[in-house]
Amino acid sequence: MNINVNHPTASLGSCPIGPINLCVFNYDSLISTALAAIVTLAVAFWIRGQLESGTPTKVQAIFEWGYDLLRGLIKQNVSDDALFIIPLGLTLFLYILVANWLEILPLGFFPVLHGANADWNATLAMGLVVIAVVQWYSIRVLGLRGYLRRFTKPFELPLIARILFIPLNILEELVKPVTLSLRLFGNIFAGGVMIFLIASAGFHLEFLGPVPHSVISTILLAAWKAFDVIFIGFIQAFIFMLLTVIYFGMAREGLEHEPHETTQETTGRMLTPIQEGSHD
Amino acid sequence: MYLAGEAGVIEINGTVVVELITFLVMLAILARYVYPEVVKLAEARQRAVDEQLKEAEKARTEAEAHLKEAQAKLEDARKTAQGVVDAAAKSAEQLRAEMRDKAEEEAKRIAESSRKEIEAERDRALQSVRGEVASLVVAATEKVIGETLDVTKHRHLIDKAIEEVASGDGSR
Repeated sequence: MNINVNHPTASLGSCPIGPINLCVFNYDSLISTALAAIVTLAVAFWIRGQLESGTPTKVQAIFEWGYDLLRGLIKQNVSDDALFIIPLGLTLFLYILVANWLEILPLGFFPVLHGANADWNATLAMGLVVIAVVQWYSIRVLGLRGYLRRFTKPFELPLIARILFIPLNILEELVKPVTLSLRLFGNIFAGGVMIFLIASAGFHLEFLGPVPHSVISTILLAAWKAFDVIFIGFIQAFIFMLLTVIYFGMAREGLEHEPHETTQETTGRMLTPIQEGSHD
Repeated sequence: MYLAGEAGVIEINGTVVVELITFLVMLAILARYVYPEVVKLAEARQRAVDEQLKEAEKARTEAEAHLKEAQAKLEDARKTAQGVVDAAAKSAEQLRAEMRDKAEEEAKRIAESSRKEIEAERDRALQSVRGEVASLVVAATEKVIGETLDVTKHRHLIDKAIEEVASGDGSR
């Protein structure tokens, strides 16, 4: 059995930058992304309406729970005043969640649709945005000197060792958007492949007759979607947001006097340099 | 433009640019129209919840303070009442003792004055008896010796005799 996992493309010609042809577009991904973005915007405006209505609703309670969670994460990992991360974090979470949950739809009927994050192009775009904002934040907090000094971690090593670490630190920073985006892409892509495989496996049950065949296929597919799409989709959206916050926290490394309380402080100041090292 | 092409699973192409723009546009719309409102509401609510918690805490401590105060007042009142009762009992005891003393004194005084009166009466009686006896003695002696006694002349003698008799009586 062959599964075609390639993306259909629309091409406007050939304008390659290195190995990347910027004039070729995976139109299935673009349509899926557009749908996810529209749904995300609709949900966001709906939530705003719910919050503005004044009377507390379930939606409001759930939103506030999530909001407080994100705010707590930012306070704990970054700083009390880094609340500009809230819009980015909420957008990432909501958009990734909606994009992942697109797969709840019976996508067999809409071959052009897939979970929007089942394309590395989509997740890499978000990863690049996150890492770009992280670099900006790091320079703003540490200053250009502090930002460049951060590439010589671990700070407690002798100078020569720190110079040797520079390429590794640069590599680490470059790899961040790649790992961030590949993690999400891999999870969602594999989930989509599994949906296809389970749906296809149903065809081998045709000898049972049409009714048992349909029932068993449906139950299997529903169980898988409940686990992979709803649960893993949620977890991946949360992890993407969590890692974003953590990257912002790491962008502060090397700040002399941490004005905020980190979780590390509870384990004692002495451990902090070691733990900063073990982040990497 | 043609639609026949295919891109590999992890092939990066122009899609990433469109995805980037899409995400940024979405972020911009949300940041412009949704987040200011939502963050404001959520923060306000957060503040309200914090304030309510603080207020509740304050009310609790206040209530505790009131309770303590009330208990202290109650204890105070109990002490005062006990003090009043004690004082009343003491003063009653004192009054009783005073009255008893006064009564005893009065009784003593009455007894004393009675004794004095009796004594005075007795003295008066004795005095009058003495005078009577002296006259009787003069009269009897006149009869016995047949001549008149000069009362003024013998008075001293008679009185002395009576005194001796009387002192003999009084010593008993």
